[in-house]
Amino acid sequence: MKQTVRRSKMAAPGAQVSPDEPGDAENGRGGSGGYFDHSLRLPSGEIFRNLANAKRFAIDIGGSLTKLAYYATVQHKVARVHSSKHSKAECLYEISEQQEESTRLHFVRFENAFVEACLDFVKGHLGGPDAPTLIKATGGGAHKYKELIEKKLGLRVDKEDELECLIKGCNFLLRNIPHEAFSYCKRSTPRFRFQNTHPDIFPYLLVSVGSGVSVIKVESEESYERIGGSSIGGGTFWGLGALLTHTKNFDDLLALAAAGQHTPVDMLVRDIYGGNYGVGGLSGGIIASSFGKGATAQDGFEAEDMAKSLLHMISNNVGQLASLYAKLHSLHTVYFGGFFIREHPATMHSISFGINYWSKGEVQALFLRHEGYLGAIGAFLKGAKEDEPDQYSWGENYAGSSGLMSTSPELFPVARSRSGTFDMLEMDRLARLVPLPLLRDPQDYVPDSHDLAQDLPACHYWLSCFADSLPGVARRAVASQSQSPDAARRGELFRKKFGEKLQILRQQPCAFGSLTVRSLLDTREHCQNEFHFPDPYCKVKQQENEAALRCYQAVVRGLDSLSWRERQLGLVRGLLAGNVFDWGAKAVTDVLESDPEFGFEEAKQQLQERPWLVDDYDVWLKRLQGSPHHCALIFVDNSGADIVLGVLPFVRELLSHGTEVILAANSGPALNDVTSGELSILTARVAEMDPRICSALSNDQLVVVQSGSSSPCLDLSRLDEALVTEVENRKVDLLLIEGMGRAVHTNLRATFLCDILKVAVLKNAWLAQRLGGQLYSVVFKYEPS
Amino acid sequence: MQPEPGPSSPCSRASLPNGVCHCLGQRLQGTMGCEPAEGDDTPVTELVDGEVGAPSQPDRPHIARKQDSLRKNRPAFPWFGLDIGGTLVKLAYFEPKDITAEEEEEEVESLRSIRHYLTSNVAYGSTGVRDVHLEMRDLCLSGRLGTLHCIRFPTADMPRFLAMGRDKRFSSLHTALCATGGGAYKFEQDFRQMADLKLRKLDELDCLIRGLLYIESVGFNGAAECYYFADASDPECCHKEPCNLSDPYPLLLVNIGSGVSILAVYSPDNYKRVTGTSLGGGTFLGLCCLLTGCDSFEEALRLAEHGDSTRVDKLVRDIYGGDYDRFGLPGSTVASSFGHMMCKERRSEIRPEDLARATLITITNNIGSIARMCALNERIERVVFVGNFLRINTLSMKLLAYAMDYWSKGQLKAPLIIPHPNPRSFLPPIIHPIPPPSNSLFSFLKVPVMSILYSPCSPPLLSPALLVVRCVLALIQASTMYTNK
Repeated sequence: MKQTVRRSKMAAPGAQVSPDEPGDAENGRGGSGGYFDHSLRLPSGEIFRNLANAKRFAIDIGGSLTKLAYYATVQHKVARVHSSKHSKAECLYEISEQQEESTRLHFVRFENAFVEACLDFVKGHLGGPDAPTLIKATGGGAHKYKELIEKKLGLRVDKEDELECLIKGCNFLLRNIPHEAFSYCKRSTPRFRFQNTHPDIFPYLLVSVGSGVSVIKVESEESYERIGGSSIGGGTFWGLGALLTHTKNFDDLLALAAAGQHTPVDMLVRDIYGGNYGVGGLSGGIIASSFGKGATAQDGFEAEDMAKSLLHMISNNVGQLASLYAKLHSLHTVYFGGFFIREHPATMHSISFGINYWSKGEVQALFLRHEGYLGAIGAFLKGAKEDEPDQYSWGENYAGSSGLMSTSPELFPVARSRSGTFDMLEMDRLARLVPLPLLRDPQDYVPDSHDLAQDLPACHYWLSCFADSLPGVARRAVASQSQSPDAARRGELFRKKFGEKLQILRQQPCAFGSLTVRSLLDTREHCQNEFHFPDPYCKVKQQENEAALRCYQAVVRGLDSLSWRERQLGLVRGLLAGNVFDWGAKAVTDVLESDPEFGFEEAKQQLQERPWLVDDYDVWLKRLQGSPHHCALIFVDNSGADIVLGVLPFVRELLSHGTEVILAANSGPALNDVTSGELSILTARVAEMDPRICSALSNDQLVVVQSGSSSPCLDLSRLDEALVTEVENRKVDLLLIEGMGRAVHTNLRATFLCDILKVAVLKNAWLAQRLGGQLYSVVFKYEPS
Repeated sequence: MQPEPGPSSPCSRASLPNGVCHCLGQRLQGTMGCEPAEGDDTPVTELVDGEVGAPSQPDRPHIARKQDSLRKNRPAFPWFGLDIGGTLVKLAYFEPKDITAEEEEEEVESLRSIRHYLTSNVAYGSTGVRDVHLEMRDLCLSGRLGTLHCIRFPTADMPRFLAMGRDKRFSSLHTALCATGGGAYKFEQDFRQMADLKLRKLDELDCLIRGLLYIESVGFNGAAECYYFADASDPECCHKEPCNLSDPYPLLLVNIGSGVSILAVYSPDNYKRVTGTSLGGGTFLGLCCLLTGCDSFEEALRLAEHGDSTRVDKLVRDIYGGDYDRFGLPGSTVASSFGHMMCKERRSEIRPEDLARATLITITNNIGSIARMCALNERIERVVFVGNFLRINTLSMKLLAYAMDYWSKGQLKAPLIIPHPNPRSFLPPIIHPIPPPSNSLFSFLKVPVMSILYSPCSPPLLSPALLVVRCVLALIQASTMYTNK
């Protein structure tokens, strides 16, 4: 084992291989960054995190890779707001940072060579009263390593069926991870096309290509069957490949294949016909006979070429079988998993080609970003029934996940030589999230307006934009915790971590699914949370909210003095002006930082004059002259002037027409967006000043509900269940989505079953230009149902 | 694709794309029985017209005239059919046995030389072979009685064949040769430049189907042609039974050459290529050569006969310690072909025989699996395997038979049909019938292949003569062509 570990390329990401320094080794127990093996050093905090709080374990040991899963509670800081006890006090509310416990699923994938070392590490860091007594195990190696696991961990090994685990894992991922499935096309940009998350994932065909191939038809969570398979799979590639090329390692074989040409080895149609076989409709490049030139080769073949031919032969055959089974069972969704695929581009290409060719385009090959974890997830779920994981939604934590192809030497030559083959996935337990029932086309709903991976200039712009703003964001995070002695250190760690994520995305834009402004913002939030900066803007928000509250009555009075028609425009302009206050936008940040007195009225001056970039105001006005809406759902954006001086007066007007209003605010903090906790306090304070708001709150005409999101953007397919219940009960017929993140970066093209108002000020010159406008251009998009 | 001929006049159409009526064989046989009955309206000559693209003339007087003219102007000897595949060239040669003294006198020297060379040898050069056991005697073709010889040589030796044709002054006898297979296209220019010969190219799938039907119709030297393995799942009872192809449609035709083509055939003129796979005979031979150092198909098969594939393949019981009950897979099922070869120790002690055996089983199983899926998808109950891969390859034939039987377990009314392991058998295996799926536990993985392959009932190896199907058709074409010296 030691010899294996010593090979430099076997090192782990962030783990160092120190073969010549056995004296360095020390017991990994307790200490941070402890060593546990003479040759392998795993800095704790990067791999196998949160072991001290681990509750349940599962392990999936395959032919070459081991996947360890555990369930741990995570202590992290959250900012909590409390209504100030002294209402006359200067502070509107009190902010306190509290330790809160959340639940996270950890998955770590590593080479089997590390099993023993990793088990030692895990044992060394286990602790806590919740330490488990049992570990669920699956995979071909579960049998082989049973004793080792029991000995090392002191846990009872409980074996679970491999295919059952695969299916459970697959269902879990498809339901919980947006952009889990993708198709692969070598010739398109990007090569990865992610699939929408469909609420209904069944039925599908799961083709697991391990040593052999199993084809499983999955019709529901409980009903599935193995409808066939093949003995020609990854084991055949590995075994035959080793015989033919004397290369014993699976990854090395794949690397060989990547460097080879199959044409010297395979007999092509053109080798037989001299060109295309026109009558039969076969082009000359089609392989007529794999290894067909093997009998006439005088001097044998290059190892690379044979590996390539072998890869083609096996992947094509898998693709063909899959398309035949799909046809036989009239299924159009086919997911591929198993170690043979392992995110390898040539394999995915060959399988995709095969299935497309044989099904004549009717069936598409889909791959899973986390296919390596299916078994481990399934085994884990089997052991975690009493925690009811299915009762919750789960979200990928971008900070703690490695991303697609993290171990691919082709994509990450640097990362690979520096690190190695440890791959991680972390998922956070969320409230149960469900789609908004008002979506016109829930099957085809894509939150994001722009897939940056399909748009290279946009991709470059946004990655640079996030990179440029990173020092400032880190500074602000540190400043928000000035009293904390290690804030500077954590701020630096955050800066480094998010910087690395951006670097990964530069090389592989599809590492975490479709690359979007939303995913970038979410990744940044996750990284901040990782280093205990739960709410860097809490104080800014507090100040802005207080300032805005002081202006509230003046603003409302001003509006009330206008005629009805003038007031409607004033309300909309107020909504827009408030939306200029956005710490997420670089242009505004600069202004706000240099000129803190930048006021609400000044913001109005900045706005584009009508006609706006998108200007449906006249249609909206006409609609207002008709019968009032029954109930409006408003997704709010920023704190301060935006919510207090823009949104609440607008809400007030709706209320006065008899319309019910649901204010949906983020569950957790993101930038300076108002959270539902803050909003509850704000509305209560406004109610003290404004009898109309007061009565609406007391008679339930106005409610504040959390959205389930902690993002500056909005995915309407994943909303808090309580919010959706409100929407259904109150029969919402007007939807208002406010702000650039929610109405432009996302949902710009989404269509709804009710009236929809999308309101935003473009505070990004680049985006404004893209949309044909300029900085502070206004989007006021109204679409009646 | 060709349109289906009208039910009332299956043979009355003239301009078939390749000029071959679907019942060409039978008709030629019936008509050319030396003395066709007066007034026989079989439109034989239309085929000829069709071939040369003349308009259809179905009226009787015309036909009679044509037949008369055919007798006088029958194509000049020698009659050849060529099938140039990716690995082998198959040559069918018709040796007339009814040559009159007058004819013999007229026979030019080059023709006599060719006839003598071909019929007096069984081997040509170092690689050409005449399969004596495949020759069809007393065959009546275009009014002539003779013997059909089957010769094969590697496609790689094509240049030498062309040089021989040039040296034997073949072009002084014929200006064109009938040829099928991919090589008919690939070598067309070489034929013209090196041997001064034109190729009349025939589509290989057309030839395959029509050749098959022809051979079935004329019989094989008086013997029944078509057999299947009954009780294929039981090595003790496994035996051959004759079968009848008189009403073969629809059938799934699996042609295993270097690669594999799978055709759904609804009538001779109505078929489609359903799919194919590149894992075919060429893969078996190529991999065997690379893995064991052997250099011929025969040698590879000999190795395979004495091998033990369980030393190479990983079985279900190697993974699960026994049966995989949850999904009903017996422990003897192959889980991963070559799966044991992932392990260095096992690689170091493996024998060439074991590797050849595993390769054969892997390829055969895969073909069977794909064929079965296609049969289900196309809802065709009869599967016929043909192609050179099955030549002297009882192992594969039985494996295919067993596999088909296994999959269809309990759902078959008629047993499995595959070719008789008898030198006289001419036709490939037929599987009959495979019902549409009613449960989904079909899997090749579940076939405990070893038991059948070790079966002691294996009769002597033989050639089912599948190789010649296409070249025979080409030859028939040649015999009906008006070609000049």
